Amino acid sequence: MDAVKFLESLSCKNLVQPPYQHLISKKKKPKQKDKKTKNQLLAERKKKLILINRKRERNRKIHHNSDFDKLNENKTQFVEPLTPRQGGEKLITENKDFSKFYQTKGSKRPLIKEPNVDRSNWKEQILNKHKKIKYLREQIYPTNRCESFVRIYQPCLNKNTKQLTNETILQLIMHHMTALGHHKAVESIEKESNINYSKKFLQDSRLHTLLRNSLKQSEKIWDMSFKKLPTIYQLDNKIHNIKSDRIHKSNIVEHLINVGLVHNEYNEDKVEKYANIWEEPNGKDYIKYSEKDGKTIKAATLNKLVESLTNESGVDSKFLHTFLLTYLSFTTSEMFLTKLIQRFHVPRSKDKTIDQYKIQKRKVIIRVINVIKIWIDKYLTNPDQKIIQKLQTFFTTDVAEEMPPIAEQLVTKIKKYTCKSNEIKIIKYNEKLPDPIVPKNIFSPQLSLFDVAEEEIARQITLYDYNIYSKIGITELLNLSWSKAKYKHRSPNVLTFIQQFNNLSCWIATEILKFYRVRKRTNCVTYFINVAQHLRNLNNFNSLITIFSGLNCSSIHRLKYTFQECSTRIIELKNKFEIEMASDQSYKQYRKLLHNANPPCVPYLGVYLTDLTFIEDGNPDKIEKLINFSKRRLVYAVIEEIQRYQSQPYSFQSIHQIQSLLGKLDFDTESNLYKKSLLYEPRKAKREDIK
Amino acid sequence: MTSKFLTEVQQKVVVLGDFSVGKSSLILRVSKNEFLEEQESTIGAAFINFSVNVDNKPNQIQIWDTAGQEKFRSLTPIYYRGAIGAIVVYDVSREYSFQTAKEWVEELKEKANPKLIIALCANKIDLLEEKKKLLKEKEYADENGLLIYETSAKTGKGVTEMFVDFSKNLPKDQGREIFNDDFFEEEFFNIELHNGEKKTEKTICC
Repeated sequence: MDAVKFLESLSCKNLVQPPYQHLISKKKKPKQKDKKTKNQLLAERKKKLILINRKRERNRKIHHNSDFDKLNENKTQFVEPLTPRQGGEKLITENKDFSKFYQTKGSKRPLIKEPNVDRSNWKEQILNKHKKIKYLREQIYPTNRCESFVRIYQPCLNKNTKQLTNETILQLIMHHMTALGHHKAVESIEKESNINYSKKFLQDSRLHTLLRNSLKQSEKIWDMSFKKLPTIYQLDNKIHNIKSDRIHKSNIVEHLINVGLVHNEYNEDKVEKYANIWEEPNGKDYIKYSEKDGKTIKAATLNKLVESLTNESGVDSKFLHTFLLTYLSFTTSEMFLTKLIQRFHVPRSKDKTIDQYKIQKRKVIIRVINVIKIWIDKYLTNPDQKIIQKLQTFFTTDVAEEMPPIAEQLVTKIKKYTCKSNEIKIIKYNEKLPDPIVPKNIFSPQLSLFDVAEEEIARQITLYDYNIYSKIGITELLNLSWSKAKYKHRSPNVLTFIQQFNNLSCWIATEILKFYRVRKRTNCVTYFINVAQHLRNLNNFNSLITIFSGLNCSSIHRLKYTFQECSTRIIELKNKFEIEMASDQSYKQYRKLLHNANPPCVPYLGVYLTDLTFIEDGNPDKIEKLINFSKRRLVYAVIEEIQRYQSQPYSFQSIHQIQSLLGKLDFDTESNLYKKSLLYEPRKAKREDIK
Repeated sequence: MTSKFLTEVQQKVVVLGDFSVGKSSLILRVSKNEFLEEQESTIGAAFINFSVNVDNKPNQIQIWDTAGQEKFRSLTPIYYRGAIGAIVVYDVSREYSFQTAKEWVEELKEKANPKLIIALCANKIDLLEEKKKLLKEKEYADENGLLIYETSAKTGKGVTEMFVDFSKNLPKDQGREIFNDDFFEEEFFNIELHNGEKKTEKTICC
C-alpha cells in the first residue's frame, strides 16, 4: 500500500476531539518562536524517518510469518508503556521506558568498538542534556505510537508497494512551512535538498491534517486494545470472564478494516477530496435533487451543500438548521469553516461587469456571515482552539476589510469561547412557583424518599430528569455514539440519563422487596403507582416508564398477592398507564400522547434512540459518493424534537435534600432481588402460606 | 403490559442482542427486502408485521426490535414478556457479541416463559470465511435446544428464510391463553376485575 494513501485512508468521518489536540497546537509554538527549534524539529523528523525505515525492515523480518497471537504479544511489548492521556511528567518517564526498549533492540546489532563511552541509556542522556529536544520528543510522541501500530498490524506495509519517498516527505514539510508562512525555511530546504517546492492550492497544511488523522486513529486503536469493554451499565454488575484478548482482537480487527490497515472488500475510500468551492462544476455528479419536487436536495458534495447554504437568492431556514445540526456526521467544523471562507472570497468571472460582481460579492458575503452568526450562536459546541483562532483571524482580516462593524460584532461573539464566562444562568419562570410540599424531617439525616409527599416526589424526580435531559447535546446523538463502546465518552448525558432510568427502576424493585409482609408491599406498590399518576400529570413520560419497568421487572411482576391486594383504583390506573406506555407498534400510543401533551415534558429517550438507530442503519451515508442529505433530514427531525422538549423548563423549586437522595439511590442486584422474591412469595404458594 | 394487545393469531416475537450486531438491519431487510439501497427511505418503524402461511392458515407475527435501547436494561423484561418466540442475534465477526447472546439465552431461560421458542441467529456470515467456526455455536444451540440460523443482513442471505422457518416452528393454533405473562401464575388482574371472566380484548393494532 502506498504510504500516502495509507495516511489518507486513516482519516475518518467520525470526529472526536482528540485529547492530544493540545499537543499539536503546542507543537506549533516553538516553531513560530525561533528558527533553531524549528530546524531541530526538522532534523528530528528526518531522523525519525530513517528510524522508521530501519525499524520497518527489522520488523518485517521478525513478523514475516507472524500470526495474530504473535502480534498481540508484540503489541503489548510495544505499546503498553504508552499512555496518551496522561500529563507531561508521566510522558517523560514513559518515554524513557520506550527508549530503553529500542535500545535493547538495537543492541542486537554489532556495535563499533569505542572505548570509554557510556552507551547505556544514551537516548536518556541526550534528552536530559538537551531539554528542547526532550520537549520536542514529547510533542511528537503520539506519532511514535502511531508508527508502532503500523509496524504491528501491517509489518509488510512496504512489501511490493511504494514507500513514502524522501521527496514526498520534504514536499509535505515544505507545504506545511508555507502554510505557516515560513517562506525562508522553505527556501533553505529547497537549496539544501535540490528539490523544488511545487505549490499546491490548499489553505491547510496537508502534513498537519494527515498527522492529526492518523493520530486520531491510533488513539482509537489504543483505546480498544487496552481498555476492557464497559460493564458498568449492566444491572447485575456481572464480571465478564472472557478472555479479553479475543474480544480486543476482534474489535481491533474491525477497526483496522475501517481504517484500511487490513484489507476488506467492503471498505471504501473514505477520504474526501474536495475542489475549491468556486471551481467545482455543476451537474448530476455533484448534486441530486429529490424526484418529487426537483428542489429539495437529496444528496450533494460538501461544496454544493455549502453553496446552497449561502445561496445569493435566499436560503431555506430549515435547510440551514438541518445542515448546522448534522454537519458533524459528514464533515468537521474545520472543513466547514474552510469552505465558508472559500465561499467568502468571491472570484470575479469574466462575463460579469464590475458592478455585477460587486453586487454578487456583497450578497454572498452577507449570506456567509449570516451562516457563521447562527453557527456560532447556536450550534458550535466545544470548539477547539484551532477553530476559534481561525475564526478570529478570519473576522479580523477578511471580514474587517469588507464590513468593519460586523467584524467587531463577530469578534465579541467569539469571545465567549475564549474567556471562560462566569455567568450564572438565571431561569425566569412565567408563573408563580407552587409551594413545595416539604416533609417535616427534611433536615434529618434519616430522611427517606417515602417521607416525601407523592406529589412532591414526582416534582423532584421530574426536575432531576429534566436537568439531565436538558443537557443532552447534539453531538451525543449523532452517529449512534451512545451505543458504541469506543465512543461512549461522547455521550455522557445520554448515558447518565439511561443510568438514572435503570437506577430508579431497580431502586423501586429493591424498596418493594424490603418488606416481608404482603400488606406492606401492597402499600409500597400503591405509593409508586400514585407517584406515577403525578408524573403522568407532569408529562414526565420518562419516569412513568421507569416506574413501570420497576414494577414489571422479573422479581416484582411475579408477586401475585402483592398486586392482588391493591385497590381496584390502583389496578385500573396501572392498566391504563400500561396501555399508554406499551411498546407496541413502536410506542404508537405513547407517541400520540406525547405529541398532544403541553410542554414542559420529559419524553422517554429510548424511542428516539431506536428511531435514530433505524435511520442510521436503514439509510446509506452516501449516495453515489455524494453526501446523503435526505438521511440528515430524518436525523434532524428526531433531534429537533428532542431539543424542542429541552427548551421548556419546569417551574418547580428544587429541594436540595431530595435531589441528593435521588442522585444516590441504593439498590440491590437483580439476581438477589429475584431470590428474595421467590422467598417471599414462593412459586405456587397459597395466600395462607405467606404473611 | 404487552400480551394483552395481541389477538390469537398475532404472535409476538422479540429480537434481542448486543449493540450493532445488525438487529435493525435484519428487520429492515425483511420488511423491505432491501439493504442500504440507494434510494430515499423514511424509516421509523421498529416493528414489522410478518405473515406466514402455516397449513394454509395465515399466521400473523409481530416482530419487535429494541435496537438503540439496549442500555435500558431494566426495560428488557417488558420486551420479552408475552412473547412466544425470541431471536437472539450475535455477530460472528465479534466474539464478544456471542457471549452477550449466551447471557440473553440464560436470562430468557431463567425468567421468561419456559415454552418460549429461542433461536440463535449468527449474523454477518458474509464476514466469515471458514464455516467451521460455527461448530462451537451449533454445539451450544444443540445443548440448549435452540434453533440456529445463519444470516447476512448485508447480502440478504438467509434472512427471509430465517423468519419464515422460525415462524413455522412457533406453536401454531395456540392462542395467547397458553402464553400468559407468567406460566405459573394466572392473569390475576383480569380475574379480579372481571370476576373470573377473561377479558376479551381484541387487538388495538392496525
